Amino acid sequence: MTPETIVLDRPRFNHETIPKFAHLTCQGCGKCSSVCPVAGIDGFDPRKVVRMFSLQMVHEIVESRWPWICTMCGKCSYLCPMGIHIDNLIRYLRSLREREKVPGILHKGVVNALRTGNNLGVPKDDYLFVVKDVAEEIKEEPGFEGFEIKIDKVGANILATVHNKLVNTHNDDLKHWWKIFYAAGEDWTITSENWEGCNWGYFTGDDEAMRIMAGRVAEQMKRLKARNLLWCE
Amino acid sequence: MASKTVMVIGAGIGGLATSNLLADLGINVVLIEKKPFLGGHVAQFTCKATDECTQCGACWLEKERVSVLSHPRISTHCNSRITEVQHKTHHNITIQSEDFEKYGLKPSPNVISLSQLNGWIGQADQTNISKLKGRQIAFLTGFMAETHPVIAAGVLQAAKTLQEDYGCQSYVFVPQLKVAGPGLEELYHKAKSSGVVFFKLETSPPRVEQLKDHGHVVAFLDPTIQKRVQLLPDYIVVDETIEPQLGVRELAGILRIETDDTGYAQKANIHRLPVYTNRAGVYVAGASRGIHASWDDAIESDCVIVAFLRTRQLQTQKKVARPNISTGRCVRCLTCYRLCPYDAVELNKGHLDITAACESCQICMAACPRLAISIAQSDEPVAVQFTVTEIEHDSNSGFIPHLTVFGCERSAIPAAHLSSSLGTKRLAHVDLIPVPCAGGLATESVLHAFNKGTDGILIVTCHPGNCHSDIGEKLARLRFDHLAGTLSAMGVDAHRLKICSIAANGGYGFGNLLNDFAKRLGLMNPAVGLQQ
Repeated sequence: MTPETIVLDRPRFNHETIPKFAHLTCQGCGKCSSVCPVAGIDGFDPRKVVRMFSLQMVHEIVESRWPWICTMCGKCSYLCPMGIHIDNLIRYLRSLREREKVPGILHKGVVNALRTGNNLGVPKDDYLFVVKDVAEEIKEEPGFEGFEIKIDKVGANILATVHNKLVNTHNDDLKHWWKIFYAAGEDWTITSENWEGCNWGYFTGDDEAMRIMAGRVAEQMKRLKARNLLWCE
Repeated sequence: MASKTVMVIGAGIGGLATSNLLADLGINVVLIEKKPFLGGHVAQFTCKATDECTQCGACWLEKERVSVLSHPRISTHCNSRITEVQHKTHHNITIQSEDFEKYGLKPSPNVISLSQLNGWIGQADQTNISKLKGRQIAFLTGFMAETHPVIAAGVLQAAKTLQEDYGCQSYVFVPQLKVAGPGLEELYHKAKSSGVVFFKLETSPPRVEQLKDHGHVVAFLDPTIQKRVQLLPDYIVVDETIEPQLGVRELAGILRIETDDTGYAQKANIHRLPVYTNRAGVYVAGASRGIHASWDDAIESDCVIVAFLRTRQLQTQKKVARPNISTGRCVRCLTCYRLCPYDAVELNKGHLDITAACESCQICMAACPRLAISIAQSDEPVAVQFTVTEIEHDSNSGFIPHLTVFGCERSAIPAAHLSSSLGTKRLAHVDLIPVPCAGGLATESVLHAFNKGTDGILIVTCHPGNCHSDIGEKLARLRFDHLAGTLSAMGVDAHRLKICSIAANGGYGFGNLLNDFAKRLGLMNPAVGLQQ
């Protein structure tokens, strides 16, 4: 991942201009590494990431796979005795990579989402067809004869976002939480547009995209005057 | 309290505080100071604190000084020394020795010592410090000897100052950093937060090269990322240590107390608790006994008082008989005088005496070639200090050897008791004979035991470097390794004599030592004593 000998001939790191992750106070205790669920994959090690960042080896980390192996679970930051925001640091490193070099479909999903409102570019009609179809299936189950789906309901108690996967390949997984709402007698709704909950702008370190996607969800909340937002990401 | 007089040498803040404490306890104090004034190093300070106390001690010094001068029990003598040896008065309190050579470096405009750097930072002339601005600075510390917290504080502060105030990037190379001192951990944290990068290279020090153009390469393995790294710093700041003040070594010689390798008036023997020396009644505190930190000032004087009171208390309780040199037998060879670890032998006209400094290690007794030293008030030579039970071998139950164990009271005896409590079965009949120090075990005693017919003798000492008398363990080893060489000429198998060391908590170890030896003895024939 890095050349055999690293030459540290970089000028002084301007700590004022980079976000404050408190990485300089790292004691090297290794709690982050031991709790990280993906430590070891490709040699990934959160402690090493913090150390390399402190040594100004930013270029090496950004070019590597490491920032993208992280699951953003946040356990490292939770346990860090020095309060280092390791997850934020990883996200910052992600943001430094050129968008064309963002791995896999992640950036393409972001582009889709900005254009169409969801990561897969599912058209509105298809989306509405799927959700209504699933609602009908629920109605056919014993005990759920009264089930109804309300789309774009104004003044509901809960407005829920939808993960793109659920309207693509995992339609049945919609049923679990919808049935719970029904059994609880909950007053809930989903939106017909900008329903996407999976914010890949957040995931890929693209702050601009993250803001736009989050803004759309907020807009829906305002428009439909829902009391609570259930944002499953 | 019966009126006693204590001499305090040195009227620095430690000496002043100690004098006051002693005088308040009702003791008369004679305070000797070689300078014309009282106060020593701290006398140069006046309070310069603005929002944060700098712990210089100036306010405290004034209080102590006024008290000493007005105390009826303290008589102060400035411009006084306790010897006729003349040497120049030195105004520097500490001498810092620079370790360039030890790092394989030559001092240059870009390779400097910590003191030089602090001088640049402190001085008004900005020529040197302006060249440093914005540069990469590498600090090297602790690779030759462990960094004292006083020096560590200096390195941390300098690295932080360069980072924050001069736009430098500071790198600190250290095997491990100990921050044992008030405020040190916070200083370390602040230094890190300001951007100072630390490389803690515990296992392998960095390789440093000076290049022709005054550049440098520092090559090492970063332990966290496990990669080889090369740093090209513009400046290298080299470690320092603090040597004892001039005159400490001489003073220690006059008082006949041990010094360490550097000349501080306390040897690195774990039995020398802080402020104690190897001579009872002589105490050493502050910058004379080791690298001294301002935060230790308050504690050292108090320690001396406690030590003094404790020794007085113990002396009244002590019932151990002191050895006595028989004038009739003594030929004044001075062996005892030279060997005594506590310098307790006094050379008087016509006779040698053992003084109160004696700690009854009996090294003198064992070493005296004339057997002139004994505990009992008698002119008879004492060849042995114990009795051995008559040894009989029971031929019915198979050969179980008899083992005589001479054990040091500080290590072997506690270990033996622990071994008994652990219930370890012993494979020999054992006579356990305590000695105050293995160095005090005489050759005659061992020969006497063989003569009685013991199958084996085990001498158990304290571990090397752990002997309270410092030399006792070494003497025992020399003496009995030599004896083993001559045993065969006396008709005794040399394998019947063994010397080894143990720690006081070595219960299992003791049992193993004993049984291993017993097993080997069991394979030999029963002993027949020395040839007559």
